[in-house]
Amino acid sequence: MKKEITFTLNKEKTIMEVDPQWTLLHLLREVLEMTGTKEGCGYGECGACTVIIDGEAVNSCLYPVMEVEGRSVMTIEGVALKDGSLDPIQQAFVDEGAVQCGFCIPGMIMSSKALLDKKDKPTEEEIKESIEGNLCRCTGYVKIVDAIKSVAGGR
Amino acid sequence: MRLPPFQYLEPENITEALSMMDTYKDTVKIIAGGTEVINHMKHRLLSPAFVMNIAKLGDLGGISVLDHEIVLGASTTLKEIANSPVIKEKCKAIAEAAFQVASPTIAAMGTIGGNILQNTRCMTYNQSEIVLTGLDSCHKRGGTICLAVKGSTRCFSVYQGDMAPALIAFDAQCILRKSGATRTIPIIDLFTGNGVQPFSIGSDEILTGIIIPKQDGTSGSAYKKLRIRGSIDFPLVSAASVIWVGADGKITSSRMVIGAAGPAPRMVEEASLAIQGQLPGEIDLEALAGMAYGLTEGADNLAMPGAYRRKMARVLLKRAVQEALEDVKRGI
Amino acid sequence: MGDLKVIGKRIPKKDAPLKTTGAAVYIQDMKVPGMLYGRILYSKYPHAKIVKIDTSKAEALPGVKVVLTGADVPNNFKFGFIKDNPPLKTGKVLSTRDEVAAVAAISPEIAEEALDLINIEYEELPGIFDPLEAMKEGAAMVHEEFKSNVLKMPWKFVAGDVEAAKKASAFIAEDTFSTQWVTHCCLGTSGCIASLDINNNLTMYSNTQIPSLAQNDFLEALKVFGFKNKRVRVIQCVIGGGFGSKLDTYAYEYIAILLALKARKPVKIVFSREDEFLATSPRQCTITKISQGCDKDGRLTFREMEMILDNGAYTSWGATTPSVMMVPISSLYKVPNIFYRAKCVYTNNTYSQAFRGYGNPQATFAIESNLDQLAEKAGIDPLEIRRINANEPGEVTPQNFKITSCGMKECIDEVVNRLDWKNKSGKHNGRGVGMASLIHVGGAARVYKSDGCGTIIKVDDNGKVDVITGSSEIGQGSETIISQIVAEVLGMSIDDINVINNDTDVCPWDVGAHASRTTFVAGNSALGAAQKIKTQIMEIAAKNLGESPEALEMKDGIIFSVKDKEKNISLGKVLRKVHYTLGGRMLVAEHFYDPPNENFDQNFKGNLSVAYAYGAHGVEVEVDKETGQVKILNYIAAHDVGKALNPMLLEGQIYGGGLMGIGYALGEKMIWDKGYLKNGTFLDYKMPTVQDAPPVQAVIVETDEQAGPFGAKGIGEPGLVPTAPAIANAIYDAVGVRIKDLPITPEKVLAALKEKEKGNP
Ligand SMILES: Cc1cc2nc3c(=O)[nH]c(=O)nc-3n(C[C@@H](O)[C@@H](O)[C@H](O)COP(=O)(O)OP(=O)(O)OC[C@H]3O[C@@H](n4cnc5c(N)ncnc54)[C@H](O)[C@@H]3O)c2cc1C
Ligand code: FES
Ligand code: FES
Repeated sequence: MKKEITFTLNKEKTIMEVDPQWTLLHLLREVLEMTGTKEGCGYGECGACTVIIDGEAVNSCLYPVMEVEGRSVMTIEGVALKDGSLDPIQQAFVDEGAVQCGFCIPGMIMSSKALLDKKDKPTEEEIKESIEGNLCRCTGYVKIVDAIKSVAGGR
Repeated sequence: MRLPPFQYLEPENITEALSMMDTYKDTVKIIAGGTEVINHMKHRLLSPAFVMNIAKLGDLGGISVLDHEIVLGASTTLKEIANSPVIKEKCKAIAEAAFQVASPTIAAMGTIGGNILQNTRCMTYNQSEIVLTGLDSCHKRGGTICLAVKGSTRCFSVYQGDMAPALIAFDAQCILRKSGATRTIPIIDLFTGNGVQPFSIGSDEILTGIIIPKQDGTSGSAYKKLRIRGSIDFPLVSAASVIWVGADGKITSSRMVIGAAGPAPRMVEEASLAIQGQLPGEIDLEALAGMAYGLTEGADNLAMPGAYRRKMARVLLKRAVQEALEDVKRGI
Repeated sequence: MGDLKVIGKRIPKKDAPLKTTGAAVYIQDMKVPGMLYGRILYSKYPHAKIVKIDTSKAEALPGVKVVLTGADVPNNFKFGFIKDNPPLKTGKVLSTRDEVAAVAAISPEIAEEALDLINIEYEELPGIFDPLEAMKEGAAMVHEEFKSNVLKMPWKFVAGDVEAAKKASAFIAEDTFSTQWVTHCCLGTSGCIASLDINNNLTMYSNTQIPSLAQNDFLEALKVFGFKNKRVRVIQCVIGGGFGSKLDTYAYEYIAILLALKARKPVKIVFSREDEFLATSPRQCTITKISQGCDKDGRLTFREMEMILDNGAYTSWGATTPSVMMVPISSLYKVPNIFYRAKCVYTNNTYSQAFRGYGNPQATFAIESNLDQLAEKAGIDPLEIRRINANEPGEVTPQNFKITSCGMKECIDEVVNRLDWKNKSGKHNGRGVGMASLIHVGGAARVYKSDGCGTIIKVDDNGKVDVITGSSEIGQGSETIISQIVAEVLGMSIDDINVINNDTDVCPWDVGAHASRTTFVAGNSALGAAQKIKTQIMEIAAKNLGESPEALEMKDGIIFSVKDKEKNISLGKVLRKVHYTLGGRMLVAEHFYDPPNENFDQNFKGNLSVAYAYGAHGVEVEVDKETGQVKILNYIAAHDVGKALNPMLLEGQIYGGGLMGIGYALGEKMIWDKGYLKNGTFLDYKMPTVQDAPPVQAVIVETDEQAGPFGAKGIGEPGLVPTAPAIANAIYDAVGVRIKDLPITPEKVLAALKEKEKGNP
């Protein structure tokens, strides 16, 4: 049984017919074909699916789609500017060499962006906390933390 | 992973929610943050006919500071609790516990109500579906055997919630409502001690709030958690302690709780009795810690061996008490 | 090497912008018109007879297009290193990851539901899960037809006379070490899309690390399925991590092909995380008996190792890891007398495969732990015994490795200085330091007959360059490194270089992204091609400018006379001249680089690699004596990389490898309990999080390898090789207990501390 929900997706008002059985991740990846948000596990254990809802980073794979009603969702597709230029946090990931296979990266960026949007100059501890639910197998996290730090300092 | 089919209920207010509970009882599953419910539905550990969302019921959220108590709405997120200045100041162990739950994303979604009422866990129960299909049904999956402790006639699953031990240490109560009735019980009484059915909450009841009573005197508290990794992991054993001292510097009361010790958190009452009236410097920490050991079940059904977890209950309790005492010192 | 413009610079990865915006397309994200979704049903038991399979209910489910079982696999097709593995099993299952049925449906949800409807009746059989049990006389056979559970692979290397050396040794240390099953944990799971045209030519969208070999595997499969003379095209999507996991072809790929053949539609199979844990092939567990000896001055006299490897139920490349284990066994430090023998044993466990380091971590754990034991017996500082025996340039090792560049001593010195070894070691006060070194192939590894890689370079009218390479980008940054090499030669910006690396229809041949070989081999190949195209360009420019080619230089797309900069012509113009001239031509160059290394002979001797990578790791730990928990306070990873072509990417490899090694040392373990995987989730499998990442210093030591492109050697794998023994040695230094069984969990440390208190060693 489909239901209609209204929400804001990357700053655009969106009205969708959804099935309550969907997770937000399903809506994004399978229905809207916005595949920038990744599924690494589907159980809240890896953070690859992280999106920002009303300012908080959350796991879209555990997020019931019906709960999106009335909320504002930002995905990795909504981070860069419309002209294609990168957000400072994205640019920092590029410049600091924080990206390897890249599968964890959209989630990493969403988690750290949620922090940076709230705090101009987070401490190293806060930076690590912000991504502690995001697994990365390639980088050993060092350059990811460096990238976030570089933005935090630069702001 | 698809979710099993269900009908979705979205009550507008608590009265409507309670009446839905009354109607659907066992067939309805409450979903608050959904971090456990969705996860378990994907694993096919749950397939309720109805799923009722209570996240948006206005009256279940928020932290209220009253004269004699602090009230946490059941839908308050763990993140709000971890970041709340008043909780950090007055109930440090609760903030610490919330801070250490899973990861920030789960803590932003997960609620205190859902955390308290999370199911008990076991490595043979919380399994990927492909593995589960190969295993016989254990007590918790409706069978008559225990896969963790061979030959056991009961379930050895472990309650691994972080919040309950800390809340119990503060003698917190929970408010349970059903259509036409409200009761308030100590959180420790929510637990049955039975791994198959860990909670005494009625199938028509909703947990609406948690009351943390204020107590006179200077207090200190701490929460310690054993886990393998620095984040994401559930506690493999945990210890919470709260200690109050009077004007004369003597301990007026204390509560110590061991978590992830069995199907329910365990209060170390013997320890509280032992230090009553003592000066902090007089406490025999090793003896206290020893009391935690016997209260901890050591089945080999979590990521670390049971025998080790029992030993660690001792160490964590000691450290939790130590830290609470340091807190007290600072407070005086 | 003159002044380098692009090489040696911290240049961001070319594909990073795509990956940071979510625009990169992984196999998970790929869709092909009309595509169906395939899913695989795995065995319920680790060892059982399949009595009956009833697929009728699944077939009747609306939306299900094909259901396959072992009976549908044509002509007894089997795949794998020794072709012992059918994609769908008939008669018997040998492990819980055995594929028993598969479906293709119009949605993933329906496919999943269909699996629930397949009914299989099994007759459970007792299984063998311990390689030692499997080797016993009278043990049941995993594969009856082989008549033995020990694989017929004669892994044995002998040099000198170990028995005589033992007698002559002043000190001998002997012990047994064991390692656990660990898995790659690529964040992007495995997957493919198999698509056939009307003539049954196959296009495979894939994650593979070995496009050319996979192409060949699929061709062979098609042949067995009855389709001769077909074409196979392998297209790689962006790969969400490799680490060796994609160095073979797997059942799911053949199943996708079979489903697609039957459905006459493209079929996509993508693993769920549970599938990935269960049905990809991990690093195998090993048991190693080792003894090493030295003379009274600490010079190593011999090394003797016997190793048993759990092969699992089928054979993939895991069974060949002893070949690379031999690298440290024969050649880590100077050891004149060597005896090594390894047995791979069939069990009813999952089967093993390549994983970053390819056996080297297991071997090095035993060697380097045991070396500390020997040092203690001999009364020598663990640091000194390593210095005394360190490898050196010009050495020829017992396996006939010709050591060219070698920065082992420099790496050890870096570790010693940065850890403040002298002041920190030997305190036994809960804090301690430890170190371990490594050798690995650093200039390719001739595993196959060819170890080559081809590159084609073409230049288009605007003066932009396309580099078509056989090498694969698996996140390590090969695309960027190749661009840098070409840009350096042609004096261009790397933004003007476009790398094409993901399509066998276009790309030249390569044996794959393994053995840390890509920078070295693909780099040399690109270097050769770039030099050839440069020669062509210069000749044409010379004609146009009335100069000799030698008098010209190229920079930023302009070719000019060195003496008179006014005399110049743009690259774009040169190109237009060659195209728009009567009898015109193209500007294309190709180069195939096959390194001058050797296959092993039947005694496992031969210069496997053109160059060898060295490194040393040092670590300072603190051990909590009450909990047994180990905290890493400081970690130094020093690596001899020849030349850092891009220090930023290089550090990324070292940090990533290092943390993977720390996971291996301290926490990761697949728990296989009587054939069942108990911890097949990211929650239960303890891959490190950011909170588990200690402070690491990546130290780059440059030794300028003459055979490498601009002096570089491989660095893809070494980062995790010496981690576990360095940590084990540091724990010993801190609290005097030696953990010989990975992972070093707190309960093992605590138990060892208790034993020590009781006075037991
Ligand atoms: C990867 C991962 C790691 C985790 N790690 C930890 C950890 O370290 N520590 C820890 O404590 N937990 C951990 N969790 C569990 C996590 O789900 C809880 O911490 C979370 O707080 C649950 O809250 P929720 O609102 O999401 O619950 P839900 O999933 O919405 O509900 C959980 C249960 O509570 C019931 N329920 C919820 N609210 C009410 C109510 N008001 N009245 C009656 N019943 C109600 C639901 O019906 C359900 O049975 C982890 C979970 C995941 C996925
Ligand atoms: S996919 Fe959501 S946390 Fe892994
Ligand atoms: S870059 Fe590969 S998982 Fe993080």
